Parts: sequence; structure tokens; C-alpha cells
Amino acid sequence: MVLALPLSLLLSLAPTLDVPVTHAELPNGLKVIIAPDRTVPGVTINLLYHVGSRDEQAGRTGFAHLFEHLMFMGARYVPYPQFDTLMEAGGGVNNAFTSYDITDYYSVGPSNLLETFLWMESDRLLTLGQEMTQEKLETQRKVVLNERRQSYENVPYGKVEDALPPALFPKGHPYSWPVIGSATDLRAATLQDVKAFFATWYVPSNASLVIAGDVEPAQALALVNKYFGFLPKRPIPEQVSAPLAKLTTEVRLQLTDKVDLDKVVMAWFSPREGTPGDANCDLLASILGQGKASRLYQRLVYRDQLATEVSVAQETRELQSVFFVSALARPGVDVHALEKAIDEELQRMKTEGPTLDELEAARTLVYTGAARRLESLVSRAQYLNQLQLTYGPKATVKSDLDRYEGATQATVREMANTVLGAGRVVVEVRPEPKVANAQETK
Amino acid sequence: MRVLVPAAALALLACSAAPPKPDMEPPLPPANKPQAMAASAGTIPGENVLAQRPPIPPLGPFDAPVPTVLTLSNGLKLYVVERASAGLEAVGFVTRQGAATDPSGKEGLASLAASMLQAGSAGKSQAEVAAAADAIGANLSVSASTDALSIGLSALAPRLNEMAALLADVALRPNLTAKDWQKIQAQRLGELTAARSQPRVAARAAFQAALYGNGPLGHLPEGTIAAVKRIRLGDVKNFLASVSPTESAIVAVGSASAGAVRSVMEGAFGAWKPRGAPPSHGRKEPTVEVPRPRFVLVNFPGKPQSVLLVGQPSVPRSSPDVLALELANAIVGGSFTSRLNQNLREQHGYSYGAFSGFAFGRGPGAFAARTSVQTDVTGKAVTEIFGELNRLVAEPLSAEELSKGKALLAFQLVEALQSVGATSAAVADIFLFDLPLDEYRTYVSRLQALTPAIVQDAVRRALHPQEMTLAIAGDAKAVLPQLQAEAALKLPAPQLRDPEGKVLRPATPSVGGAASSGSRTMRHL
Repeated sequence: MVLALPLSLLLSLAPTLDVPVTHAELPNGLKVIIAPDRTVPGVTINLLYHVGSRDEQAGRTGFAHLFEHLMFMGARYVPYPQFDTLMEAGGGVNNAFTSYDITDYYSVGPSNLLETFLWMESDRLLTLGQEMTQEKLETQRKVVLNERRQSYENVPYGKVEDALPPALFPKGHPYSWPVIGSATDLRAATLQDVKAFFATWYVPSNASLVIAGDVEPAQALALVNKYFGFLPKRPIPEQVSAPLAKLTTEVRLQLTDKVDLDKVVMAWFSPREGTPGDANCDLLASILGQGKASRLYQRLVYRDQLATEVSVAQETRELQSVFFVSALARPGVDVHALEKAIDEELQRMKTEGPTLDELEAARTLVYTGAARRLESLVSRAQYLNQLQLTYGPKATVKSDLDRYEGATQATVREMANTVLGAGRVVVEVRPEPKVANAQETK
Repeated sequence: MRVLVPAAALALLACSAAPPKPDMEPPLPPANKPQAMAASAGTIPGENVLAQRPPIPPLGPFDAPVPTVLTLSNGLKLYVVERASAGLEAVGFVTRQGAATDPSGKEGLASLAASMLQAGSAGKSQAEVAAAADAIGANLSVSASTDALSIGLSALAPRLNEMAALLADVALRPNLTAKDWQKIQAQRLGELTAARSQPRVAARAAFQAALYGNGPLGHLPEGTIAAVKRIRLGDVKNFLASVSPTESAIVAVGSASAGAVRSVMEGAFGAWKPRGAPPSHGRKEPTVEVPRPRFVLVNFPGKPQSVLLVGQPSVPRSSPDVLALELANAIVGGSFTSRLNQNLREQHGYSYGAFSGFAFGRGPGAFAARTSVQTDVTGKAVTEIFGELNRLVAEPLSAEELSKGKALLAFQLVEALQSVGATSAAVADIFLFDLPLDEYRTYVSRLQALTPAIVQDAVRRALHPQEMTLAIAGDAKAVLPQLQAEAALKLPAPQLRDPEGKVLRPATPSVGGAASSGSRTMRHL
């Protein structure tokens, strides 16, 4: 079916979301984007290093994220703990995250901190390795092991995060272990590992810098040159590649946890980041499971009352993405009843495709979501940095959103058939036998 | 992730995600690293640019928005902020009736009423209303906090007419059918069952119940399984019928002018008249529990971490001490370099992060320090937390800390007012808590007037560590001997509670082999 009037209206919305930027690349390979916005008296800098958990060695899972923590442990001119104390003294704050593909650092604060931010980033990019010590490593090893406990081990169903990657990807594939890594591997990391990882991956040619906020582009660029221009050119690290993983049959895992309700998580391979197929999967995920009008919410939560909550997501990644469907049961509902209802809805989507209204709503939600992402300086800068990594230096928000304009009811249905096939991982989680709740029986 | 952004850690404290703002004195530069160090081994040409700490130039003022207030023909107030945005417009409806008004035995009523507002309106089904919101890209959210029931949505302009119509349908014309009620009630029971296996939720529930007992604040807004089973559709109808225009307000933030918003909202809400009894018919005033238990515990055998909360009831949002307390909090637990986080995370390695916050509401509010620590260091971690809280009361902040806290809060205001949705929520607080319209505009100048003495006086009025309650969700058998070993804490034996905060056994328990040795206070108080 062909799209009627609503699309033309939406087409006109996408371009208005673009933000003006200035691009540059320093001789040492550092890519720079400056996105001025004089309406907010603040500035953020976002530094993206193209290294993630996929670049870890065997026996060192979780290392890229551990390294991220070590980046705050002080360098030659801004020794520990001044990265944080100087920044917060001026009203600025920072954070960072590590994914399978990237490690991303940001600082945000009043606009008079721009030069301070650049100074601190330059210092640690140049000297962190030389200033690293065993003591710093031990401090953050403890913190990261506690992060692992807090975010995975002490969270209901958290063990699914450990179990899924190796079930989905073949042994040795760069996505076959979780970003957080294993506690054993985290304990094994050495000072030498830290120095080698830093020397390989933390080089200007493997980084891109976005400055967003209350800045004058020429002045900001001059400061970038001042603090990053003298850094020597270093070899561009070779990025990992892997053949597309495939599953032809279903892999089933059965776990138990200290929980009261059953849960099912399903995962399929899907098109990689930045492709039209990736955009179709976003739309498919939205129609299937995002929001209270979505098909799985309507069927499992509202109509049949089998599930307490459902969740569907296209988890976009550089080499190959993963499409997730999960549902948490109602009390007394077995995981197989959830699966049956989910599979029926997936089959209906594969047969009938989405309605025109569903597709248009999903597309509108994508555009509105992009607008929300542009609202705050921190998320805007991160978005722009991700865009340049995915599409190259001239990428715009529009080039990202353009991918959604080509989607039709037919392409979304086709994507459902391509992605949601028999080859998948299904994780069933059931409650452990009920001795645990001693407090209730006493 | 380096730091877990502590926003949602404690629903009770969510409203203290307090707005602040810029205009700071540049801090005193600590002495730069000596040049000699820079010249040591391994330097490269040009590196000396790093030896000089950059200047921090003076900062211009930040003119935080002051909303325009209009009144519709039925008395409903309209707060409008007209400003440039990324093409987005936010509208919201808020009424001064939240979980603090839940009747005893029907905890969760306000929150269920909020859910029923999303279960179909104006003759349209739940699915049709949700689809209508999706069609304009709006994130429709309806929720009940302690003090308010709020409806919010934002969408790309120009959708003001559709947004206003949707807002009015959801707020004023819910279907409230028996069939939808059965579904909403059953779903809530599922959610509450799921929450029982979450130590973080259990710690909050036990903490809140310990602070406020059976009073109106003694439960999480979502309610308890037993109470939700007792609630009937008639209760929800009564609750919603008592929502009145004079106790409610509309907020709009975006590019639309106040005049345009008024005209659209008059069409959508102007004909609304109160449907039932006026509000506040003999409702219980929020109270705090006296005496409060000093130590409550929810047992989660075998867990690798203990979730800890340490705190007490505090002061209402109307207190003149609020800003000074926010500043004290920034130093003790409201930032990465805060005393609690530096101590528990960086110095001792007990935790991924330790934070604190105030909840300031219409009622007594609360203060809580919160963290998750490795099970085997729970006792030591509790001692460190109390040590930091005692120090906060005993000693004034240093000049350096005062300056840092002001700078951090000032920029937090800038960040809090970036999105139209967050700005709308901040403006709703002006209505909910009777704040001056220029609350955010004057924020920085009021902040700058604070001195160490003012802050310490406020802290001494509000915080009394020796009266604070410790709530733990964790492995009782593993942690109780550790707490006994920390004799200086003088903790009584714990009051055991279930994951919803309900007292399990009033008498002193003997948990596993925990009581084999240790202090008398543990056993007999």
C-alpha cells in the first residue's frame, strides 16, 4: 500500500530538526564538530573513542569498561582526584559509558569551563598511560566489581545479561560476551593490560570531539587546536570485523532466579546500525512493543492479562544488531503461555504487516524522539558524535531520519519476516524453589 | 557507566532533583603542578601548554523563565512559559491530590486513579487513547506522586489543539468502566508482586514505613498488594470526583504564546465544573512516626549487596531552610565529589556510588543517604555513613565546599530547565508548593547569599543523626554480626519487615547465628 497525506506532513518535519555545525579534522586525525547554541549558558564536550568491549582480549572481558573508569584516575597535569574536584568546583559534572562498539566521555557545565574541559581531556589523552599505577587500578577494580553487583547480580533477572551473548553469538565473536564482563576476568586485569590498551586505542585518530552549547565556533576551534593540535599523529588502530553470525534453529536456555514471576527474553539477529533495515527494525519494535497502544502490550498485558510488562527493542550495533522481545509474567502465568501469545502476535505481523496508522505513528514517534534527544546539550552532543561515527563527518540529523522515510507497510512486514525467524535464542527464567522467602513464613 | 545517575534511586526523594543555576565565582586555583614535574621524562614538544591551568572567565547571568499566570473562566490556573525550543511543546495538568491523601487501608488509591485515567476516556477505549497520543508523537504520562496527580505530554509543534484535547479527555472524561478497572487492578497486583523481589524497592518501602508509620506518607505511592485488593472502582470514582479546578493547574511550555495557550485551553477546560465534594474532607494530616524504629531490615538471603538507606523525616517545601539544606546536600551526598561518594566508593571501595537527597513536599518530607554496598562490608559502610552525617552536623562547610556547592546547584538549574518537559514539571512545582513565580529567576542570588553559618544552622535544625533510621535490604544472617561488631553505632536489634515495608514480628528476632556474640544493644534494645 502507498502512503497518503500524513507522510508528506512528516517529511516536512524532519529537516527542521537539524542543528547547525562546524566540522574540522586536525592533522593528527582528531575529528571535531562544533554545534553552537547561544540560548543555554552552558557547554558540553563529548569525546567518543572508537573502542568497546568487542576489542577485548580473551580472558579480559569487561576490560574496556574498567578502562573507562581508569580515565578519571588522574594524569600528569591534572592528577587524581582533580579531574573531578576542579570540574565540580566550577559547577561542571562528567560521566561516561562503554558499549560493545564505543567508549563515550562527556563533561558539561557553565560555558566558562570550556577551556578547562579541553585541557583536562588533552592531558589524559596524552599522559594517562604513563601516570597509571597499580593502586589506581585496584581502586577502580573494586568500584567496577560493585557496579557489576549493583547493576546485574543484585537485580532480578540480571543473570540473563550474562547468559544471552554467548548463546547468541559463536565463540570468539566480538559480541559473544557482555560489556560488563565476568568478575573473574575483571580480577585478572593487569597494569600492563591498561598501558597496552591505552597505547593502542586512545589516540587522536581514533577519537571524535563534539562541542555543543554557548560557544563561538572560531574561538572554540582555536581552543581545540591549542589543546589537541600538538598531540602527535599515531597509527589508526585496526577495527575488528566479524562475519555475520547466523542462527538457523532455536537455542533455548532455562534459568532460575530469586524472583516471584516467570520471564521470557527472545533475541534475533537484525540489520546493523545506520542501515535502512535498522530503521525498519526500529519501527517494527515500536509497533510491536513500545507504548500502551502497541500490539504486545494490547494482547499480553491488556487483553489476555498474561504479562505484567512487555518490552521490544532493536539494539543497534555496528557489526550486527540484535532484536529483543521480552515479557514478565503475571502471577501464576507460565513462561510458555507468554511465548505462545508472543509468537502468535509475531506471526500476525509477519502475515499482515502493520496498519498504515501504526506505521505513521511509529514514524512520528521516531521524529519526536529525535527532537527530545536534541533538547539537552549532553544528549545532543552524544547524538552528533554517534552520527559522525555511523555516517561519516558530513552526517546530519536529517541523514539519520531519512532512513525512516523510505519505510512502508510492505518493508516493515518484510523485515518482520527476515528478522523474526526460527533461528533465535529464547531465555526462560523461573523462580527458584521457594525456600528463600523465609521471612514470610516465620 | 562510570556513575549511575542517581535520579530515580528513591522515588520518595525524586522531587528534590532540585533545580539550580549559574553565575558562579571562579574557584581559587589550587597551585599548579610545578613546572619541574612537567619537564620530567616522556614530555613532547608543545606539551607545556598543559602546565598552565586555563583561566575561568566570569560568567553572564542566566535568566531562568518566570511563567505567565492566567486564569480560565472556571478558576483553573494556567502557567505559560513561552520560549524557543527544539520544536517541542509540552503541556501538563496537575492537581494537589496525591498518595498522601490515600485513606488508611487503601494505600495506592491515587496511583490507581492515575492508571484509570489512561484506561480510556470520552468513550474511546484504552487502545484508542494510547493510539491518539502516539499519532501525534506524544509521550503521554499519568502519575501520582506524594503530593500530586500529574498528566504530561509533549509533541512537536504545531499540535497544541490536539494536545489540549487529549489532555482534557484524559483529565476530565475517563470512562471508568468495571471491565477496565479489573484489568488495571490486576496489572497493578502483578507489578507489586514483581517489586517484591527487588531489594531496592523493598528498602524504600521499609524506610518510608519506618519514618511515617501508618500515617498518609507511610507507603510507596504504588500501594501494597493487600491494600490494592481492597480498593474498589467506587473509591477511584470518589477520588477523581473530588479533583477541582481551584486545586488544579495547567502548564504549557514551548513556542506558543500565553494568549494562544489561553484560548486553546479555555476551549478544552473552561467548561469543567467540580463533579463532587470539595477536597480535604477530613483527610488525615501527614504525620511522622513517634518513636521511630532506628533499624529496620528486609531479609534477602544470599544477596551480594546490601541496599542501605539512612535518614529521617525532614522539613516541608515551604521551610525557609530548603535552599541551605540543598546546598548542604550537594556537599554531603549530592555530587560525585561529595563526602559520602568519596568515602564509600573512592576511598573504601565498598560501593559503586553513595548519594543523598532531600524530599521536600507539602508534608514533612525526608532526608536519606543511600547506597548499595558489598554484603561483607555492610557494617563498616554503615559506620562510615553515620560518620559523614555526624561530621556534617558538627562542622561548618569549608569556604571551598560552599563555593563548589553553589556552582553545582547553579548549573543544575540550567540543566533542569533545558527540556520543555522538565521545565513544565518545574513550573508545576511553583503551583503545587505555592512558590513565588520568580522562584527560579532568583535562585542564584538567593544561593549566593548563603554562608557556612546559615547552612550549618539549617542542618542542625533538620538533621539529627542519632535519631535517624537505618533501613537495609540484604542478607540478614551475613550483615547482623557485622552491625553488632560496630558497637559505636549503638543500634538496637532490627525490626524485620516484609518487602512491602510491613512489620513481620514486633519482638526481637534472633536471625540465624547472628546473635552469638556482640553488643548488648543489638540484643536487648
